[in-house]
Amino acid sequence: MASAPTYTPIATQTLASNASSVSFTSIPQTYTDLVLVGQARCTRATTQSTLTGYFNSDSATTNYSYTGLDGNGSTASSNRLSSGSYQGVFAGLLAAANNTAGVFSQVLLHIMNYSNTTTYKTCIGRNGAAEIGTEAEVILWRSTAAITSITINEILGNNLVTGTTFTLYGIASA
Amino acid sequence: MILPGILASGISGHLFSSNYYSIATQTVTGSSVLAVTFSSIPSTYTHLQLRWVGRTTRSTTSDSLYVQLNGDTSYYYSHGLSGNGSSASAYADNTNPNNLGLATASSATSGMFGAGVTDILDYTNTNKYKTLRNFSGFDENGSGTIRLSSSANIGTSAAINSIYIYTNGGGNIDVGSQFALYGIK
Repeated sequence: MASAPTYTPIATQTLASNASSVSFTSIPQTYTDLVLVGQARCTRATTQSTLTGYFNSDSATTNYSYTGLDGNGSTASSNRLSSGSYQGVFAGLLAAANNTAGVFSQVLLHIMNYSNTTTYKTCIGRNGAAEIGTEAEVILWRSTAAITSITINEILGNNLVTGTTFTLYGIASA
Repeated sequence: MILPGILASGISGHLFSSNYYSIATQTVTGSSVLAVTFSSIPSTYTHLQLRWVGRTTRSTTSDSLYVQLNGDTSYYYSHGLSGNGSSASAYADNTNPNNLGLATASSATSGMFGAGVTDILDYTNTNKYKTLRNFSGFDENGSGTIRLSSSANIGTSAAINSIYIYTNGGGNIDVGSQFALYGIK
């Protein structure tokens, strides 16, 4: 039953200057699950924005849906975005320009069974920021395509700031 | 000390990939099955992590996946936070088996599966009741649930050597479901 160690870093992207997106391309198909771990902040002039993104080249709103559980220090809530109203692999709480300098959002996303070509892709994740709140989420991408790339961006197209960093890990089952 | 298992399912951080091992994987192929079992689990790790995608044959849109440790059928004490897309709720339960989370079921659109990650902490320690931490969810494009829960089986402190996964409604675990067990040193 024993095997070689896994939970292997595939790639890390760290912004040395502001940029509109972070991408992982040519993702190897040799793992069972992917785990995306990161910290992010954007240039939008507000205290909270939304981190989003897409798989492969599917940047339309058609094929994504989301259910979330949020806490902001005073209220717990749940929300949903369905087909046509939501594009992305996150609905992450994203630190923005009006947050205290140095505050970044944290992101963890489990991308399950990503190379399977017979099922839709379900992701579960957590994210949050100290001055915003915390969130758990489940995301469905209604596509049977294997995930070969991930693009991460701010929902309105504002830049992600220097220091934003993401690492993609692969987990291989026996 | 930072526990890799905690990082693996809960928060961001740097993992120690040389400490995370695949133990076994059960994939449902061909036809649905009543249950999935991991047996003879080695005792050489500190924590276990179970990662799954699941769907059942129950004639509903979702179904709970239950788990027995070492074949113990007694009930678990659990607490959870849940969101259904319109409201958040907290719950406690001591009248059901441990619940890994919600899978999709046969009334859901074909191809939709629930997913979850469960950490079983300090599973070989014989001086503690075993604590499970579950993170799971399903989304069906208009319905869905995200859930965080913790549970413990108050009554036995035996080391865990088998895991038996089955459905709440008496249905089977459907084709395409996959359960992968990992050990964390």
